[in-house]
Amino acid sequence: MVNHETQNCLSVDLEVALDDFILKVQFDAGEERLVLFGPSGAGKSTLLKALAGLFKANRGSIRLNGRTLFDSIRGISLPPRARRIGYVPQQYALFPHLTIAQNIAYGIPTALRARRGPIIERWISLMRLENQADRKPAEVSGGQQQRVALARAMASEPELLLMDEPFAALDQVLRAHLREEIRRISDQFKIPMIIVTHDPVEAYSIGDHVVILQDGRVLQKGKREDVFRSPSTPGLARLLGMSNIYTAEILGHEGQQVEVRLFSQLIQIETAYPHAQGWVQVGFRPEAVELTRAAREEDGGLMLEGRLIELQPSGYDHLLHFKLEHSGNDPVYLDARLSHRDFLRHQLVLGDTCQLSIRVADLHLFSQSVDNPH
Amino acid sequence: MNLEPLLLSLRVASFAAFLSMLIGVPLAAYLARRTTFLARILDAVATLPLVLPPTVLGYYLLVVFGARSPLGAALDAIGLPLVFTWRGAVLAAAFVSLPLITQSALAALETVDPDLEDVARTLGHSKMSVFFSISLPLAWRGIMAGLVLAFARALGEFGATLLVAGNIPGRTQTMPMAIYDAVQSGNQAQANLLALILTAAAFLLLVLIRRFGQSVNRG
Repeated sequence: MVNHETQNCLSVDLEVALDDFILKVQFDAGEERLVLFGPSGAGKSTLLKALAGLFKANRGSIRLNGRTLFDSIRGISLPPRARRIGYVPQQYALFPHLTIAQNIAYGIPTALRARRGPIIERWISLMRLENQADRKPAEVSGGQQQRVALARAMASEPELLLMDEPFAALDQVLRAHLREEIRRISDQFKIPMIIVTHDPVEAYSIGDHVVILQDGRVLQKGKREDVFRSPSTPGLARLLGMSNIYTAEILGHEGQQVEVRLFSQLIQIETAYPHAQGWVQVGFRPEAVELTRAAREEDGGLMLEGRLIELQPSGYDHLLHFKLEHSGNDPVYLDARLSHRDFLRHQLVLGDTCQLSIRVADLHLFSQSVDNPH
Repeated sequence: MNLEPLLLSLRVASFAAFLSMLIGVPLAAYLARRTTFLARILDAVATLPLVLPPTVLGYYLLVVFGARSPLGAALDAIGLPLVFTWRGAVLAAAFVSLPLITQSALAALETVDPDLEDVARTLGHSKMSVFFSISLPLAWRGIMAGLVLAFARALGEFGATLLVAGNIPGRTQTMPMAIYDAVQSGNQAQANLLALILTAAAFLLLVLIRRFGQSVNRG
């Protein structure tokens, strides 16, 4: 393992026994926003609590900026108050009997007591909570409560900030604001953050790095672009919202290029893995689908034709379900996501037949080969 | 009429409720969200006075604090004997009302959202500090309700008190004892009056408990 002793960073290698499985994770994080993504029950919240010292880990170690917070072999386990880890739980957990200002003041370190007033002032203004200081948490809005929880955690001057599903209780507009807030704090204070979410869109929009957790195991970790564009398995891809996955035949390969036959079309896809002859799965995200012939003409991507059978508006964008026109017997479907503007421009109605194209750069070849589907 | 039993009862019940709170609340704080063997044993022991006949409890107290026990001898030596004094009545009443305050405090402390205590601990506070700054302020209504309940129970205590403190008019004769004596001696007017006073007190305390019971967990 790399020695990070002098760097601003977190190094985690933990085993935590839960009711029905053992959580086993290993990852490092630096000055960045790391998203812990996974379905409900994957062990995300427990992992946060174990990092904060609120849940007992069975084995392993946690190191933060050169300090050992937990080490089962050396018998070290610092109490939560000595870890300098800020924690914002899902329901914010604001102290209902204290005012907003008292909530923020609660975590100010004893050494800074003399500058208490200015510190509270600063966080009140940073989090746009002016005029709310003397109110009780129940008297302010959900978005403001979230910002108080953030301010309270940050005023304790933590070296790492943990947030459990920070967006879950907020509407679309407040989510966008909170994302901004989190980015701003992360940039200004250079504090590493771990943010838990089960929503792939949130995971992508807030995280620099992503760790994907399922059934207590790390499925994949890395830069968000890499993880989202090149998920390691089709199962993981679906989890991340890559809902279009099809089987293709490998025809040959040359260096980094693999030639496959997909829907009777010959396509050259770039891949990091060597592929033998046989069958593989190819996937692309719904956002990659364009309703023009553009992709085929520009770069040799995939060109399909489909009939619009279902429409799912979700406020900002529209999820369209197509049934593909192709030679096979079994029906094949495709999902496309369009911005509201594009959707209006195309003037689509159910039953329309559309040209669907996907750029070759958006096609992802899974490394595992599959059996002949026929 | 003779006001002495009433004043003595109020004094004994106040001290007893206070004493049971001093033991019961820290005990409840320890027991809250704990399922260890030791916690279960302690919980059972603290609840025992609720189901144990008061005379049996009184007898045990007599054995432990009586003049023939080392503890009793030591208390005698420093001039604070318990048996057949009003202090003995306090001790008996405190033990009898201990389960009431312990269980009320336990229930109130366990309704406090554990997330609040967790977050407080990450904000640099020790468990003790979290208890006094978060748990206790949020559970105080439940604890006060328990305190009133304990006071009410102490006010009516008869069996254990009789064994430990006796029924000495002017010294250890509390209201329930005075009612007993009044009935025994056929003084019905006195019995009626004393019974009425205790009934009125009980009613008042009930109103008080209801007030504390409302909106538990609000600051």
